[in-house]
Amino acid sequence: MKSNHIHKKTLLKELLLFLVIVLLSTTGCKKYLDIPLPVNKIAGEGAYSNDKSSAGTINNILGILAGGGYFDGALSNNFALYTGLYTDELQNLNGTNTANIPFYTNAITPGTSGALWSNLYKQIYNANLAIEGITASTTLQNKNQWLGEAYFIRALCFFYLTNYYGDIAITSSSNYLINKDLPRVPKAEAYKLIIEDLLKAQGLLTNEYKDGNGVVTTNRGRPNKFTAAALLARAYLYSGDWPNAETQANNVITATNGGATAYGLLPSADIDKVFLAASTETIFNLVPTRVNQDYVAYNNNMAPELAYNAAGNWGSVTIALSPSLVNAFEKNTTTLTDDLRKTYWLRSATMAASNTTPVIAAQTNYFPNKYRSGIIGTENIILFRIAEQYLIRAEARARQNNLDGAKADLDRIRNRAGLNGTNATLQIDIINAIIEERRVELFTESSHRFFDLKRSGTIDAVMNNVVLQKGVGATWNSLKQNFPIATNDILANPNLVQTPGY
Amino acid sequence: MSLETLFSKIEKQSGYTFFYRMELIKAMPNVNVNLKNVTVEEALDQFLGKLSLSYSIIDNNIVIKSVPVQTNIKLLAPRIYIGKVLDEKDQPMPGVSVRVKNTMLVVVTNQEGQFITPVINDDKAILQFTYIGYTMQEIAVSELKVPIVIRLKLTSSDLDQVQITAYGSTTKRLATGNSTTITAEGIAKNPARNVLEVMQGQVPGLFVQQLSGLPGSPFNLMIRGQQTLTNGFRASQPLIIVDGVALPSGPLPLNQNAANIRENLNNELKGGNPLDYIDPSTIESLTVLKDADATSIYGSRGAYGVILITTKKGKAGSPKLNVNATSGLTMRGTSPEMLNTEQYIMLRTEAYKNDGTPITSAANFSDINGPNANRYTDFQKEYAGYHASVNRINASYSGGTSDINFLIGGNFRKQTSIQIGEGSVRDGGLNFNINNSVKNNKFNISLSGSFLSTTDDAVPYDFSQGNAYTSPPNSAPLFLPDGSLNWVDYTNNSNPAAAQNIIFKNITNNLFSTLGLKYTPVKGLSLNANIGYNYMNSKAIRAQPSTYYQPGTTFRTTSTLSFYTVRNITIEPNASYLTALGKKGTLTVQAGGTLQNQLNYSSSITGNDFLSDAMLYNPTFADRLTPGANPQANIISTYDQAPNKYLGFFGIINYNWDNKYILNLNGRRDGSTKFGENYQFGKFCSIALAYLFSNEKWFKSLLPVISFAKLRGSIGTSGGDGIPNYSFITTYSQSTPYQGSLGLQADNLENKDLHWEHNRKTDGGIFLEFFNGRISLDATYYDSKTSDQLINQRLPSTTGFTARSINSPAIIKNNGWEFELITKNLNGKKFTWSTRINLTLPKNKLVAYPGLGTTIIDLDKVIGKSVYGVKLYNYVGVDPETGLHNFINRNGLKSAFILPPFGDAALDINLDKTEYIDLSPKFYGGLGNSFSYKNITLDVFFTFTNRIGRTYLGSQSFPPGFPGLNTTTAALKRWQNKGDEAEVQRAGAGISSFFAQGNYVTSTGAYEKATYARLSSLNISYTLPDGLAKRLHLGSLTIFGQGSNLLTISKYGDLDPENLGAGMAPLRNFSGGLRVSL
Repeated sequence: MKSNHIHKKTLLKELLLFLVIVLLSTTGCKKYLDIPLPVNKIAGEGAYSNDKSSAGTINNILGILAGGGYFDGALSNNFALYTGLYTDELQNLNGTNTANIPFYTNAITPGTSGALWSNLYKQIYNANLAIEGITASTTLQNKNQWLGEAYFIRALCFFYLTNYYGDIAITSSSNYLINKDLPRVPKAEAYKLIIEDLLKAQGLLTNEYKDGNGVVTTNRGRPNKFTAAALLARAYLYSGDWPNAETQANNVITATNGGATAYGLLPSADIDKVFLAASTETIFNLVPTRVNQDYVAYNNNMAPELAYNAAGNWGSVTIALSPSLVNAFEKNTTTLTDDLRKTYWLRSATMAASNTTPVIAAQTNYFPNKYRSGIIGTENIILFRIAEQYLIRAEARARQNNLDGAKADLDRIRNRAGLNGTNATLQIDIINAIIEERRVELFTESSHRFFDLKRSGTIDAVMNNVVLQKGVGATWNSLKQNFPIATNDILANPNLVQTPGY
Repeated sequence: MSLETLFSKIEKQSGYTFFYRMELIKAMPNVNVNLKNVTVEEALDQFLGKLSLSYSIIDNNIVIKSVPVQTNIKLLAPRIYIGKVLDEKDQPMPGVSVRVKNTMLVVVTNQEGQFITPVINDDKAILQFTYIGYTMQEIAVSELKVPIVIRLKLTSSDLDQVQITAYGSTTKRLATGNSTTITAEGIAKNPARNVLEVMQGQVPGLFVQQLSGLPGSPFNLMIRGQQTLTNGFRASQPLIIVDGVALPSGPLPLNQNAANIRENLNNELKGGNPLDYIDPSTIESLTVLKDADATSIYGSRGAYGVILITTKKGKAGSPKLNVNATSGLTMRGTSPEMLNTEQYIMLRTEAYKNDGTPITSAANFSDINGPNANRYTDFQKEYAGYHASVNRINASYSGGTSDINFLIGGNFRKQTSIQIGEGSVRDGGLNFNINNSVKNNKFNISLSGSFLSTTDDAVPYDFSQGNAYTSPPNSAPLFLPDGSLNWVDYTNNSNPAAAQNIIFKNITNNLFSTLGLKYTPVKGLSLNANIGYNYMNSKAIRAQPSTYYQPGTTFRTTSTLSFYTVRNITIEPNASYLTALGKKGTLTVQAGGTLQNQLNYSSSITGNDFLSDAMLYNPTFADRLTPGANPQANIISTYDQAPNKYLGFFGIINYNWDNKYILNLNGRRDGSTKFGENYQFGKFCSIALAYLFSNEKWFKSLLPVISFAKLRGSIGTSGGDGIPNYSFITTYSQSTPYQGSLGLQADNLENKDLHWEHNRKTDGGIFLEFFNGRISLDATYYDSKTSDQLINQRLPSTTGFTARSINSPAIIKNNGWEFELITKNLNGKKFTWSTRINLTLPKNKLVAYPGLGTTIIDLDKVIGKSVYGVKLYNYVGVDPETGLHNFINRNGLKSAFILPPFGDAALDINLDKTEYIDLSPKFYGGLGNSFSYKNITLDVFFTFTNRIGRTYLGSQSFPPGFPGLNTTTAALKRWQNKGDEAEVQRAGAGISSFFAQGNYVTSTGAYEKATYARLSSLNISYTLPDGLAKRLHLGSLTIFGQGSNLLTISKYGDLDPENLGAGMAPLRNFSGGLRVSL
């Protein structure tokens, strides 16, 4: 039973001890909260620290453009399909397809105009991030290649955006705090940025094609210097800068690679090979990511084997070429043979008359046949080919009153298709002939027809007639040449005004 | 010889120890004694009387006193005091803590209930005796009478029940915060598998909803109302802490897409609850912290309330073995009564009559007039009509001395399934605890651990959803007479019962361990550290073998093996200092920190198409050679890893003035890896005051019936960080490849401004006890405002994203009343009866939501209404003319609203939802009665809830009479003839009844009051009288019968009013068992 010996310590001493404990436990607390990044993610600038990941950010955009339905057959976002239905290229066979009908009847609304706007801005955001990240990076071997590709992609997306929507918001950085409040600006400003970007891309990219590792390849799946020139030629043409359009188209047409001509029209005999992967007409193509459906995809979801059934409808085939497009193909006035493009780039199918009452008469419909292989790797999605450059140069020359030069370029395309040279002589006739030629050469490709109608100012005249031919209650007014923006976007950004007319 | 010598001689011979005051003995003359063959008592009697001394024997101790015996000890400091603590039955109580009030001097009684205090040099010192479940006693040393025998009383009121707080404990008497505790005793009265089920209705302010009766299913927990904008299930889950270690937050398994989920359920119902992996028998107490005073100390994690669980600890005393064995049955709970064949055909026939469709012999009428139309199967019974067995056994062995004590325990449970298919859920676990104190309690160390392994191989399919209700009663039987699956009538793999052949096995292991250290270097100061480690891992296989498919059809067998691990380390050092301050004041200061490091791993391997079912257990053996496809596409593997760190510092200041005024301040600074640099740290604090006004002199004379009265109030803040990791930076993940090269995509828009969710809580209450604890009433009013909610805000596409995480400008207000009334109605020697009732009246309101309807599209939110509700069409009953459901649209037009071209107009999904229904509970609570007569006790507990739910008929998208679908007997109240005023629309198979029903499902008509009272648990037990138990060489023996979810009283239609048809209705349980202590 001994007594406890009690230490007499002052309160101060104890508090000191206290503080020591607290200090010990707080040392390095900031550092403690630096957690390792997730194993399946890369954070911030880390994405641009090496070539493989930098290229990965570009791969992602190209992969989405190739597989997301922008230029291929997926129904949800298909540019070519929707604008083909919207204009005079396609007819809708299925009266109940809720996605196609608003386009075919020229009655799209903010709710039915698809996701083009948001999908393109997503890729522009990705490109902006890549431009910022790659520019800042100091450790890349192929910095110029990736940066050039990013600039090209941004220009390509803005080009389509402005051509669908007219005035658009220009997002030139990835900062959402800026981007979320941006208003629409005049089209000209979009073209200014597009041209700036493409000139940069031209300076950064090489004559050769590169692959995802920056190694020279024959595959034309990534943009090179001439791809930038091809889009530049188009952008200058669309914005009315004829001399530059001619120069840039000329750049492409006369391009050489390793001493040989880089791009050239195939002979008439090989017109069925224009869309093959190895075609020398191709300036830039997207390599699709989907494996089994190339054929369906390229031809805008129109199946190779027509699966219509006997009961009077086209079954799963929902879309065919419009009769007016089929009729637009000329014949050779001397030999009276069909346009080779009609022979090789179209195919037809006939459905027997139905055994129902009343009888639905037998029908023949035409379908695009530019891509016809079902085998992976045989064909890619072509965005730029040399024929368009000839037509661009032809138009640029015609606009500058170099009529002979224009005719020469136009006739190259016509002759290759087995047609005689044009007999137009006046400037206005030659220009119209070129536009008409673009219609049959570039049909169902990347919305060319829609854009040509818009920029040539003929859209109202053409469409007022087309809506009557469609006969499904379609109506037209001039405001419809620009698409509406989804309501969510308008709600989320008060500065963003809906497209006039919607 | 001197008395001193004599005593030491007797000590040597007898083994007794003498206690006496030296000055008393020294003053005595020498004695001459000759003692032979006498007992110690006789010896002492012989000589002590002459010396006017008396003695008393307490066990082995002989205490010598002067006569008269009862004298106050006039003391001179310093002294030590030796005494003994007994319970009401005069049995010694080991493990009672004896504290010198307002100091850190504590001792614990030994096996014999004896204690020896440290040296006390203050003769005004007060000794405090505390033991869980017993009323705390305080005695001034000056009032101690020799022999020092303290009798502790079983807690007659909850007043002195120990309440666990964040970093310590208090009593209900002195608490400044609002918390409720459930003890092991309460848990044992309910046969529930998950302790959350026990908590249902027991805790005012805590709403517990069992979402599915299948074992391992999740619960919806809400402390003081919904505080998030996300609707419904599991939106704002409280933080659960077991022995200082936080349980993994969020539903389990962490990988929601992995195989170990019930496949045919909503996401809300997938995964279980972490508490499934803690055996209720290992829980000592469970405390629910609600207000700012109790939760602010948890800072960023305390916004939605906190549940503290402490596991059982070793107790000093002779070693005791406790065994508890229970065996019982579970069966299906409430489910809709579906139409029988006769009724079904009647409605089907009537449907065609109403539609004007002639019934022919065509195939689509075969359920009316086909050859098998008279068949009848009760499909609910077929799918889930089995009686499942539940068997549990747990044992613990505990004992030790006041210096070192231990507990070891083990438990095993097995619950089979009430559904078709083999399999069961089996848990087995071990737990232990060791406590050691050395150097007069200067240093304490305790180590506890528990391990539970759960194997679930029951069919991972909730058969109560879908076919069990909707299969027409005359459908083909699911099984052929030989017991095999019926593929004859159910062709193309359409037999739902095939799900019983899914191979499933989920093994989840949960290891919990805590090391506690406490060092008391000097009086008043104590340094503590708590180190916790939790490791939970799970391995699950889910496979569809060939027996899942119809023989002879083309099928691809599939198998997924998934794994996840959660590892959590918590280190919590803290120091506390206690000192007297002022004349009557006690100041406690506590400060410390928390370091938490959590790491989650998950991975899975899926394989498709196997040569043989035997290979399903290894998904890497799937087909690698399917032609035309990517050779590796048949084997898919995933891996994910997510670290999460957390850091916090806290300080607590408590000042108690004369047990009258108590002030409590909490402060916390928290850092989390979920936020950007500028917002990593957040500060949270609270202030609370308690005023024990019954301790005022004027009060005692004024209101003698009130034996205790306390007013308390608190205000403070807490936060939440319920967002995914890395939201504040831009991250990239692997995405679309191109030309065979990998793609990388930004998947998150950085927001460096993300910060803590903010919750400001105010709480005020009054606690009154009447007639010395016979009646106690606790009433609380609370009010909380939640703001800065982390939500996704809509962004324009120009940003590249459609939404981003932001701190929402919305403000949600929760307020309400909580009452708890405990009465001891009868308190006789043989018969006792007590009643507990609690009631919560919650209110919930969306106060502000800037941007609602424009930048924020949140269809079901209305300013000024509850956040948990739905907007609906205005239902106005069945039209007596047409027999169809009718609605009123926003323009006041009344119609069935059939979509054109089938009808004239349709309802607009956004604009015509003019009505709002609040789905949060209006009130809920529980009512418990405990009776005991001699050795028999009976506990009856009812829970009750008032809320609104959708009826079964209101959730069916098809009208009664629709081909191929059965409905409930509620549909018999249908409209039949023109002019009928009916509750249910006409039977119909046509398009107009279909559309009208479609509108009905999202209208006010589909909802009704789901108010119910449920006999949630009943427990009757008989304890063998002590004498009898002793003769059987038992410490005690109790035989009991238990039941849960035995009776539901409700006007609510067909479904269970608790889970509202979300999944399998809560099961009924009947068990019996015995509890033996050796």
